[in-house]
Amino acid sequence: MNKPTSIKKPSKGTWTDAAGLGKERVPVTGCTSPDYFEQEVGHIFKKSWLCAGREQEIPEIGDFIVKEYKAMKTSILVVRGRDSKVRAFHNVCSHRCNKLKWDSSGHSARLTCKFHGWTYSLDGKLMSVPDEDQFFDLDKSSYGLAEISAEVWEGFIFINLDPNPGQSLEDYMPNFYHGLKGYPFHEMTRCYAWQLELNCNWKILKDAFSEIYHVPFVHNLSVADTFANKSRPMAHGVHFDVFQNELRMSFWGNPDYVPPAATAVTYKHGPSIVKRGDDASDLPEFMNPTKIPNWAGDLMQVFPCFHITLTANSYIYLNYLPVSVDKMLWELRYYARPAKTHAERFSEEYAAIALRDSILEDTRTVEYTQSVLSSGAKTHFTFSDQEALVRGHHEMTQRWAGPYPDPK
Amino acid sequence: MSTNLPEQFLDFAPYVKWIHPTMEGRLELRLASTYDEMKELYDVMLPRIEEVLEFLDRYELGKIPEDAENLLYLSYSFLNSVSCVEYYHSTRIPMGIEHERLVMCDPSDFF
Repeated sequence: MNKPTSIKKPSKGTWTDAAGLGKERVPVTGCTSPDYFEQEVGHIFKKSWLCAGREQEIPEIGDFIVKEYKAMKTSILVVRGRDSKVRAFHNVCSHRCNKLKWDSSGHSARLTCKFHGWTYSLDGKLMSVPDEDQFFDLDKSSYGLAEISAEVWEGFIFINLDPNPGQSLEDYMPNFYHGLKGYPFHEMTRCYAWQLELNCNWKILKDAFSEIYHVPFVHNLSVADTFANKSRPMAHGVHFDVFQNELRMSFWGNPDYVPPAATAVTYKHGPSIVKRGDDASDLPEFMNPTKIPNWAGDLMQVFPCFHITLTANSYIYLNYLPVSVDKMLWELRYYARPAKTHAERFSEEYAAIALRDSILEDTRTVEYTQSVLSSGAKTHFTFSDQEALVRGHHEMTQRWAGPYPDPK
Repeated sequence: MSTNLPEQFLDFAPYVKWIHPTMEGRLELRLASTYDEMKELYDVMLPRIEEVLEFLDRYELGKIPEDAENLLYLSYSFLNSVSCVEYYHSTRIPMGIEHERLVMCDPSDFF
């Protein structure tokens, strides 16, 4: 069951058919209804595996990061213990329920509450209570931090707010879990990271990053030519997979692309997410499923909000975190192998600048979409075969949280 | 912070205002500039950028004298001009949201 599988498109069929998806229009109410948003929080975000970051953020014993999950009204503390294991706890003191760690990251030999000094070990056990004899029969062994499930896959830390997750991470995402073994995540440790609060439903942004259809339009000033040429003006994705909780689109790069003068210098010396022609032969068999020579990358998403786009030389990490029905927090990171020379470092800086500037193009459309979505002017979204991942994600959402409300 | 440059690149002296050690700082310089200023930086540095990189690669990463490090930071600001000149024809992203809304996290958090 864990062997990677890929959907084969029938010669005359559609990706939508091959993935077993419907073709009907999809109500917009899943992105506008506050009640439905609460259903998503309860049935999706409190039940599924969420990526909290990379292990390299907490390399040493006692290193911690804090992830704020506003929609779920909790804060999660991810700590590396004395046994080097990564654990996750609700960031809440057992005494008067104060938030335990206030910084977004740091290092502590033990975890001490700033309110009354209750102190916990790195594995969450209550170690000491100031003025302990003033309490009434306090059994410290039953006052540990509230631990939640945490698993590490290829250096990514996943947490699950469900006290009893129905599936291990391996069973939850079997195709990527095994299929990406061998991708050099552990070598690509150089990271550029941004956060952005957006005025849109989390799915609206995710939808925008689940298809190539928008590229010739939204990115006509920037990266469009790296995806499309005269023979493929719409830069179609070449392969789509919609698994149980995983989605993947493989895409082509324009081999005729000639970068402008200075961009060409950066490509010569270092990585770029839109650089074309890198040797992909060492990558895992699961990647580039059609084995096309001008493969550019594989876009991969794990439901609900984890996204990586992998290329031969670097990758993008995205996390679509809900805040409210029409607000979200976006985490965007660019990972590459650390530069060994200044010329490589120069190119890496440009790769990060180019990514930063081009994603600002995407984020305008998503806020404009949300701003008119509740108008009632249009009640449904329409998706093409090239938007199979968008549809696939909406179907997954409804499988977890129930059908979108009737828009009438 | 000095703004000295290596001797063979002293003709970049009129552009030392672009020297800044952080990516965020360099972005602020870009956003506070006119397109013509960015274009001038691009035009001046492009013909010599390979020479700049060759010069910088005489030094190991992290072991670079101050004047060469200034040249490195200047070359990073040149990269902002590349985005402006080769793609957007503007210091900003014409159909995009504002750069100011992005919060760049301290990269050291992630090493």
